[in-house]
Amino acid sequence: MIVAERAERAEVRAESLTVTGPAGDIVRDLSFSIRLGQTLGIVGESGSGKSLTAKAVSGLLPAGLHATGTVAIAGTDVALPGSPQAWRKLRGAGVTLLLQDPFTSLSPVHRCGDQIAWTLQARIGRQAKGTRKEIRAKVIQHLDEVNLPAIVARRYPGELSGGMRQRAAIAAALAASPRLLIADEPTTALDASNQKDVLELLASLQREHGMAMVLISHDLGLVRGVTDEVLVMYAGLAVEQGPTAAVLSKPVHPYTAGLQASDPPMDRRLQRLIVIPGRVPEPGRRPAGCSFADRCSMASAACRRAEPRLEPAADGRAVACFNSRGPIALAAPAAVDERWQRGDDAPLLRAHHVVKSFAGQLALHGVSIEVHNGESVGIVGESGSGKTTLARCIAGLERPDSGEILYRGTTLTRERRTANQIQVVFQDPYSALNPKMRIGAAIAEALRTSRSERPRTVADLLDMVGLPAAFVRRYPSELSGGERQRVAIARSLAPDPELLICDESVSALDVSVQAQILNLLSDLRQELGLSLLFISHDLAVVRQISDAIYVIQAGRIVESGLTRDVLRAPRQGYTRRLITAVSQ
Amino acid sequence: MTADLLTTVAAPGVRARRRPVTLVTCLVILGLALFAALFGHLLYPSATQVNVLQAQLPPGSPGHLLGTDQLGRDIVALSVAGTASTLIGPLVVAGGSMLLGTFFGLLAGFWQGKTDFLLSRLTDLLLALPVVLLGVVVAGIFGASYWWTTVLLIVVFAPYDIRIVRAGVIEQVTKPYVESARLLRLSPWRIMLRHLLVNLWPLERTNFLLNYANAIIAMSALSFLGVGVQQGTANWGRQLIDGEQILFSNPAASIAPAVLIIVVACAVNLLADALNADDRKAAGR
Repeated sequence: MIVAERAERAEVRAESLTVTGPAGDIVRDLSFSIRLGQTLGIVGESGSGKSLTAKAVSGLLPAGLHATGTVAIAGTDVALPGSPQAWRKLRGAGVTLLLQDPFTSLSPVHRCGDQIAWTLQARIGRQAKGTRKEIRAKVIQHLDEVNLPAIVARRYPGELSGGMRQRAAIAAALAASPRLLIADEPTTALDASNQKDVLELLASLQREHGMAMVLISHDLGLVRGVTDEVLVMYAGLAVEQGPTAAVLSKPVHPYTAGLQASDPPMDRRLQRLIVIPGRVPEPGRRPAGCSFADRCSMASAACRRAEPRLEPAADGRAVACFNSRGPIALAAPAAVDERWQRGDDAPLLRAHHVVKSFAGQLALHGVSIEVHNGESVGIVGESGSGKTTLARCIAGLERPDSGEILYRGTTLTRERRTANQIQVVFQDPYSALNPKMRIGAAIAEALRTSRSERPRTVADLLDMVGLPAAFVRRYPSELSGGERQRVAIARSLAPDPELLICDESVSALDVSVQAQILNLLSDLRQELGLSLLFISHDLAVVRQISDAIYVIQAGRIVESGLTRDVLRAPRQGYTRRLITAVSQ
Repeated sequence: MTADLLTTVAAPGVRARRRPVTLVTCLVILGLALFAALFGHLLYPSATQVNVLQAQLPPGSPGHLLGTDQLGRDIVALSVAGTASTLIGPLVVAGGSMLLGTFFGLLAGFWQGKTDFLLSRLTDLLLALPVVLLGVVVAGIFGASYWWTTVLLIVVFAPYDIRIVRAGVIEQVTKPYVESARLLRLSPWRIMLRHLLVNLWPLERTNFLLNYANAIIAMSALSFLGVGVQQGTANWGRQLIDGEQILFSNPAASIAPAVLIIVVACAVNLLADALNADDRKAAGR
């Protein structure tokens, strides 16, 4: 009896968690438990219901969504949706949610110290004046725990870097001493090197505080390194659940295997990335039977008749699949021979000693790069290193203070630029398309700028990027992120440019979609003889797409060469740091 | 992202029942006002005829539901007949100022730099002018004409519109879809009309409706000062000023037009709100 109660108090449980929206069930019958001091990873593509699971467990579902099921945190049960009183008791000391974007999760008009103090005050109650000094001391102690100096207490969030801000947010979250910390993509907005630090910090704090942690992420590498158990979600359902080591290294469910396989490796370049075709079905539009059947290579007739339930499988895991009976051997696609020689021909593009400053701050200290015909060149660096500024100068979206952009040997001026020279695919697929313009109209408009003698049609372009011709009548809001990015690529290819700049074009996408877009880009490159300038912070992605890379740090090129050589034997400490941050 | 999408879609469901009522009420009120503006003079052809024998009748007098004013004109008839002059001028004001605001706001926001500097200082200058004083001066020079007052109000309202549109444009031009259009070397006019304007439309529409409500009040206020509308013309603002003198013998003479101004101005404002809420819903599709 006592033993049972103790076990109860030492874990966090969610039972038959279901979240219902206007269109149908978004999360269905999800159950998990985590012992205090352990971490559960939740992975899946966007639209799989990860974030809403986190919101349901912390009682923060947006209006219009309804949750049922039970959440039990260290002995306190709440039957969902739960009254505001019940949640007020449970939040803070019970459960705390750490969000992705430290820019919006901290109040911009209050000092960081005050924001940590609020949590403390809520916990110990607003007491007499005597405690103010204590609270201040406690705030500094909490900041110290996340390796921030005491001075940060007096700073506003806007005065801190992204990594420091996320640390301050962690300090505020932990000030309540929660039993359960839910971290929803806590490092996605950070640089690779910061990601690693913040993640290690979270793991060590979790051990010290003996909390349970739920880590939600689309990054399998990150989940593999930190979590004890993992829950793979697809279309609102748990499809595979169990010990992290077993699930991620020997996946049984085809979806887990697909996610694993589409994660690009950094140590070699694959001929072709493995993808999961299609997209996550929306709530209310899920097919009968197994939701994953349409995208599954192992699907049989049985999969479309009935829905598989979670059943115990090898290594203490549970899997919801009729057909897969054992670990799926991960296909190892052939690596490409990267021996490649830069041609002796005159470069297509030459940026010569480009200098650019913003408000007196130098962003580029005289950067020079070259891109030859048909070549794919990567530019890698942390955020703030100047890589995007360089791309914008080359594209003509910013005017360099000095230096030259030469295209086929002539200096590009505003007047000499034409649409068939350089086009850009931007990072955010959601703002890259005019929300009030149909896809067909957007591509047709771009096509009119083509000077080709045999102009393509809108249908040609949609076909080229792997979208059905019926998409012409759709608005961007009716498309998924990956589909929008395809449209953006189609539009940028319409004027037949010779150089395509991809500015972090795949970093906002899920790994499975990222692999699709990367494959598409290499196909287009071969088909059209396109040159690529690929800007990214992700070295594994760059390895897959670029022949040569430039490493940029604080507005200076610090290293350059063949991608293979630079990643195998980096000469600069900065490059080494970028590489170890990714490979952990 | 998913969460955002769902909230915006879900929110209207919660309030679905309330908004149509407001929307329908506003549309009915504005429909009646439009009807009165178009056909008021046919309903009461002799609304402005002076009949001194029947002057200053209190509300509830036989044949005169709200009584008469000091010239013996029936308040109900006068109010209906005054709808056109009260509501059409402001419509022109709001429309004209929207056109000016859109044109100059787009120019300033899109080109920024020198164009923006010049236009912005010019709007600052106009914003500093005292409206009422300007109205009195213009009336002194050109006579207290209705259409001169309309033109004056367009000039006075436009700077606000220019600023609002400019701010909207500046927010949009840094978005990748506009930058993509620039990279396609589309002409600036095409970018402004085909890309920016459609995305500024919710802002423009709200601003137009708010301006319309403000212009009704501003024009009535100027008429109250005797600037906007000639004496003897049927106009709610004019009625307010004339009714003040007989406030004790027939309070309805000034209360009726005051209530009408408030009701129409509110209906326009609530319509703007309702349309905006629909827009937010559509944005989350």
